[in-house]
This record gives sequence, structure tokens and C-alpha cells, in this order.
Amino acid sequence: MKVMRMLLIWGITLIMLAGCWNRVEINDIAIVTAIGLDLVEEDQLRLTLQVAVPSKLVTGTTGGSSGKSTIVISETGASVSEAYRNIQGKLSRRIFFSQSRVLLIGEDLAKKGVFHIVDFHTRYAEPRINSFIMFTKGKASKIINSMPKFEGVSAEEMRELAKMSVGFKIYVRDFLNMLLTEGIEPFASQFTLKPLEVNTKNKSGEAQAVNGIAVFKGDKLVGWMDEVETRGLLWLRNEIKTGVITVNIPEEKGGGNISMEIVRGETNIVPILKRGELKLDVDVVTELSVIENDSKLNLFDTKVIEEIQTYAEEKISKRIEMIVEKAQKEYESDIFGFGQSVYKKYPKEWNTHYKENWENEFAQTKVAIHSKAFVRRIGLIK
Amino acid sequence: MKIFRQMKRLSAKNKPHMKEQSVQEQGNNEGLTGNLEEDFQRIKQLFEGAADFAYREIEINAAYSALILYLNGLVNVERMELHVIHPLVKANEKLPRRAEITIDDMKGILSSAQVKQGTTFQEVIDQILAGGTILLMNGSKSALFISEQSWEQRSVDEPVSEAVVLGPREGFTENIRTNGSMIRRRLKTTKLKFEYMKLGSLSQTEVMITYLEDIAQHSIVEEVRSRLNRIEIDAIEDSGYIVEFIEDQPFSLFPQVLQTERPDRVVGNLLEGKVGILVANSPFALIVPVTFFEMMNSPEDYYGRFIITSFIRFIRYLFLAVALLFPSIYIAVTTFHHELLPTNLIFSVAASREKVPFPAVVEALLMEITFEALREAGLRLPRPIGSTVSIVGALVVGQAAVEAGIVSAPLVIVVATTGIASFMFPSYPLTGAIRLLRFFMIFLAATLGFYGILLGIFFISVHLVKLRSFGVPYMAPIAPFHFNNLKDIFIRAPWWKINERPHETGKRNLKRLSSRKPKY
Repeated sequence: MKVMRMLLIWGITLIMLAGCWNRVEINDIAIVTAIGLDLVEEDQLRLTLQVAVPSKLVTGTTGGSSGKSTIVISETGASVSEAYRNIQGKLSRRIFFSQSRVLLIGEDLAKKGVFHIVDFHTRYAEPRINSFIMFTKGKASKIINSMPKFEGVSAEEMRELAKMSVGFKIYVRDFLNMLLTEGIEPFASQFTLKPLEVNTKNKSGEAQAVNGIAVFKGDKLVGWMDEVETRGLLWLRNEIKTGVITVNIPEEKGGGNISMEIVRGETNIVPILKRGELKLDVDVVTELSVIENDSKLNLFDTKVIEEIQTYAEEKISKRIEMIVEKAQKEYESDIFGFGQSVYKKYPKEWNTHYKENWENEFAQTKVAIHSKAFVRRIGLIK
Repeated sequence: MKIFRQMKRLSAKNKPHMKEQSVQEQGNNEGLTGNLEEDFQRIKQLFEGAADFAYREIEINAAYSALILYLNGLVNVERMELHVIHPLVKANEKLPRRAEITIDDMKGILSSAQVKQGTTFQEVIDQILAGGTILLMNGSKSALFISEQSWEQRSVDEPVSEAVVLGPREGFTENIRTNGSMIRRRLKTTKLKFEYMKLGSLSQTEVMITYLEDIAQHSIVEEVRSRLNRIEIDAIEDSGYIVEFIEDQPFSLFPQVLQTERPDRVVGNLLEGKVGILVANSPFALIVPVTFFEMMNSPEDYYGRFIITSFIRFIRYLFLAVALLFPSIYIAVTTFHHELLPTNLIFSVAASREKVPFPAVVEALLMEITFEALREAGLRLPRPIGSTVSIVGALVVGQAAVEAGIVSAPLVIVVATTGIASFMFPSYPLTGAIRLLRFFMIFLAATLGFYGILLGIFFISVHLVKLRSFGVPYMAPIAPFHFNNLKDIFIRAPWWKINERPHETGKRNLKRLSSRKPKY
């Protein structure tokens, strides 16, 4: 009987005291779809939120869908959370971050350092650590303000775009990992607005586009890389999944181009430590299949295929070399994780020697690229 | 549970009190006197005011007067005329030529199949009430009981509450003898036992315990017997009365006795070592002990193809969860865990809730209760009006309420799905338990979110695991776990693979297949 009475009291207190304490009806929250951060007035942070207006988003249920489906609202503050509280003062519904999958940071702020932003985004329970982190030249608020083309909300389009395997999929959690791991520097996708049509006189609208990557050193932005260079980074990070390589056939062989689709690509980074000198071997193996041929070469000839393979190999190594050079000389930022591979193979040496001055060592390390390409298929027609 | 036990104790205190009040026929244990006039007067007095009481005097050999007593409507008059009155009237030629003619001589004359003899008033009265025809003779201290009962009854019909596509279509009727014969027809063995008993001080309802000797455990049969004997009530109108008297946990929401209209289901269970209880005037037989998983099985499971049946069982368990949890999950997600919904879904849910004036809980309760009302109304009304109710319900509750912005469309979907899901279970009493627990879960989800739902599942699980039906754990063979019996729980193995009876009830004689060798 005593036990029963105790259980009853427990049950009632459980429900009476703890019940409903964070209950919010779904129509009392402001669903944030994208978060943008910029630097304004030297040291002030501007938080821009894209908030969905459900009644405008879903047609049919509650009549008219006139007006914009999202509102953009921003406020400044010394920290992210301060700006967030300031915005709350302007919104009649509770700001709800958990549905946001896009964290967009402007250039000025990124150059000053982003650690506190990533910290807020991971420490506070609401924002998702699997939201995409992206950087933009200029102001983040400009992109957040852009109009959607297919989806109801432009943030959805950003997310879908980031999910496609054209570029990198970098979540906040990956960014934080790269930031905290030694021997690798963080990078993230770069996002811009591009005109919809090119080389026409039409006044076309603007569309969001993934446009290369932002390179970091520590938590500070040091530079950008364009799309072509990003391809090189994909090779080095062993994340190449799809892509097309076009090789030029020299004039003496008849000229023209052959385009090949990447079927499979694999990259191995092997650090070699010999007599105190560090060297990195990068082995790249690619399988290709021809999808376009406007040269005069006969692809049925194995000799020709071998020739094409060497062209492809050259092209791939050149791409990789280019980006390695840029990272080593221009940015001095080890976004490839070379340091990690050194640590994995030579942990003792890493801890005693390289850990402290990897910054300098990275810039000086020799990188040898061994590219191997195989053309597996030549297409359906002669 | 303590509070329940206290209530039980209280009701136990009331029992002797009830006994005093109960009307019973007593003091008729004296023997017949042999004086026809005197005996007749006494019986007639007992039946005073009973218009269906009938009698006929017959002179045998112009020397002996005999009397036939019966109740109109319970006796097949044509057969009685043919097999009782006619031979008696024409007795002259057949009777031995001697001075004394005893009632024993009459046995030779009557051409009825069943003739018994009795000597006390009580026996005579019981026999009349049970539909027997009584023959009294002057100078005889014993009476003959001739069985020529027959009364109007429903014919064997398709069971309404347990319809199947495949499998036998006959269901029990109100006649206990017909019901017994349906079982006997399926098990032509002397091992099949029927034990008669009478329950109800006024109704004197016939109750039959049936089981297979050598398979059913003695302890369970004995337990059924003793629990039935403990019943003290004036009348039993349906087997449902008995269920409440013999359940292990009468306050549990979950049924611990299986009620079925299907003789094939009873036989299937007898073969698993269960005990069946047939009750006169009830088309529902009872089966004990029963487990939760047996409640989830339909008799059709055993007639269809096993792979398809296994799939259907999977669907059934899935929708068990839906029926129990769907509204509460909806409430928890829309009021506590907004991050769980896909972005596009949360937009449409939020948009549809935009104009709804109530919180999600109130909305859900409103709809659930309306649905229950619709269900009950549809059930009670005569069939032609019943369809009107569903049309009005669908239009008013479904469409108009959404359009008026009183409830949100996703919630209507939730409630409708839940409604369909709750009618998927082959056991009607279980449906009730799930429906009621749904409200409990809604309440928990509305106050504590997913934490509350988990808490609720936890409480229900604890209760289920603790529950027993006639000593057999309710969740067997999951808790206690018995691997070999899993062949007929979530899946239905082919018959040639189910080589053992359920361990809990059939352990006296586990083997089902004569050869243990599997087919493949």
C-alpha cells in the first residue's frame, strides 16, 4: 500500500511539475529556414534569419497565397545569442532554429574568425549540427533575401544545391571537426548569386550557385578557390564521385577534344619520411568512360586508348598540382589533411617535430603526384 | 492495484448478503408419495401462475390413471403425441396380463429415445423446467422423464463478429447442444470431454467445460472447474457474465478470456491444451487460458498461405502500434518535438493549424471522442439509418470541420487512420482495451511529449508482463521466452514446421506432428 501511494504521488508530481514545461504549439513558432551572419560597424554582428510563413507557403488549405512565403528579419548584437534575443523582441512567435539547414556567413565576418559562431551552433541545443555551413563573398543577407525558383523557400534550394555532389557537402559538424583536429585546416562551400542565363542580352534573374570553396586557416578565412580548383580538392580528398574530364588532342594528331566521364576515382596519400626529409606521394587512380569525341582518333585502337589515358593522367595531375601549389604557397593552409596522414603513419615524429611547426613544414613539403587513368568504355557508336 | 484489491474485498463482503436475498426453490427434496392426486396438486401449486404449464390425464387399461406433465413451447408436441401419448392410449394390447402394472412396465411401451427415472419432487420440477415430459402414475413412487425437448432456435449462421474469407463459415448458435455437436464433429475422439454443470440459482444455465484429455493440463482444468463453481449469481444470460467472474485480473483493460463464435477456433485452441467453456443461450464460447498474441491471431491465419499470413500479421502488429500511438505521437511532435518533422511537412502542418483555435490536444480529444460516438451510434442504430450516421459523420466531422477551421486536416487523417487501425484486431475485447489506452497515451503525450509516450508504453508493458490468464503468463512465449513457440507469433510458420504445441498449455503432450522430420 505504501509503495502504491508513493508511486501515485510520484506519478502526479511528474505530470504536474514537469508536464508541459516546454510545450509550444506548432503555430506558435517561427520556423527559421536559413541563418545568415555578417559583420557590421567593425565589431557588431548582424544575424539575419529567413523565417517561413506557413500560411503563405501551402496553397489550398487556407485560401490566398499572395505575398512572400518567407520574411527576412535581422538584428545586431555583440554575439550570436545576443542578436538572436534582439530579433525575438521583434517577432510575435518563438524563434525555432531546428528546421534550419543552412548557415551562411559573410566574408568580413569569416576573415575575423568564425569560432564563436560554430560554437553557438553546436553548443545551443536547437540549431542542427548537420546544417550546411557556407560562406559568401560579400554579405550573407543578400543571398538570404534572394527569391526561390523551384521550392517555396530559398533556403530549401540552397540545401538541395549543397546536397548535390558537384561540390563539397560540409556540415557544421564537419567544419568543427576540421577546426579542432590538428593537421588539417577547415574549408567550406562558397555560395554566390549568379545570373540565370549567360551571354545573352536578356535581363535574367539571379540564381544561387555553389561556387568553389572558402579556405581557412584556423578559424579565419584566408582565401577562395574557384570551381576548377575545387575539383582538384575533391580528387585529393578522395571525394570525387562524378565529373567530366576533357582532354585536348594536339594538332599533329588531328586536333579536337575528347570528354570522359569519371566512373570511379581513388586517391591515396602516402607520406614518406626518409633521412629526416618528408615527402608525400599522392596516388590517383581514375576510371573513365568516353562520352564525347570530336577528334579524328579511332578509339578502337588500344594504342590510341593508351595515348588518351596519358593525356588524362597529365590533366589530372596538373589539376592537383595546381591546387596543392596554391594551398602551399598562397594560403599556407593544409586543407588536404596532409598533416593528418603524416600523424597516422608517423605519430612519434609528428608529436616530437611536426606538430609544433606544421604550418612551415606544410609549405615546404614536396608532393609527388602519380596519376593513373584507365579508359574502360568508349561509348556506343563508332 | 491495491485499491482494486480493496474493492474486491468489499464486494466479497457483500456476497453472503446477496445469498440471503437470492430467490431459490428449496424444500422439494421429499420423495413422491405415490398418491397421484396429492403429488399432482403439489406440483400444480408450484407452477401456479405459469400459463405454459400443461398436463394431460390418460387412463391405462381403464384401471390405472397416469398423468403427463410438460411446459408448452419447450416440448415437441408432435413427437410427444407419437412416442408417449399414442403408445399409452394403445397400451392394452402390449401390457402384460397381470394384476399390477408398475411404472417400469411403461418403459417398454414408450418409444422415446431417452427415458430416465426419478423419485423426488425436485427432480420432477427440474425436468419439467428443462423441457422434459414427465409421466406420473397412480401408486408409483417414481416418475418417468421423457426427453422430447425442442424449441424454436436460430439456425447455424455465419459468425458476424469473426468473419473470414477462407475457412468454415459456421458459427455457434444459442443452443448448447448444437454448439457441442459442432466441436464433436471436428474432433472424433473419446479424448474430447464435455463436463456439464449448472450455474445461476434461477436461470439454471447449462455450462459445458470441454477439453482434450491427455493434452490439457489437469491443473488448468481443475482451476476452471473450481472458478466456475465459485460463481454465485441468480442468472447467467451470456458467457460474458462468466468472463468477469473467472478472470484473473478483473480490473485489467486487457481481456484474459477469449470469446469466440467460431467452433473451428475453439477446436484449434483445444488442440493447444486450452479449455473451452460453452454456455447455454450464448453463441460465444470462452477459451482459457489465453495469451496476448493469440488475441492478435485470426482463425483465418491458419487457412491461408503462410507467407501471406505472416505479412498480414506484420501489418496487424504495425497497426496495433498505430492504433495505440498515432494520435499521441502527432501531439508530441506538434507540441514538443518540432525538429523531428521534415521541413516541408512542418510547413503544411503549421499552415493547416494556423486558424485552429484549440491546442493540438483538445483538437485530438475532440475528434477522437466524436469518432467513438460515431462508432457507437453506427452500431446501435438499425442498419438503414446506420449508413446515414456515417455519411453525416464523414461530412460534418471530416470536411466541414476542416473547412470551418475548427480542426486541422492532418489531424483528421491521423484520427481516421487510427480509427481504421483499431478495427484490425481479430479480438473485439482487445480493440476496446487499445481504444481506451489511446486516450491515456494522448494525455501523457500532451503533458510530457515523447517522454510521456515512453512512460506509457513502459507502464503498459509492465502490466502486460505481470498479467496472467489462469496462471499462464499473458505475454508468453515472449516473456517468458520460448523460442520454439515463436513459429506462430509474429509469423505463421507452415504447418509442417509447427511441430510443438504452445509450451505453457501443451507441455503434457508437446508433439503435434507424428514425424519430427521437417519436410525440407
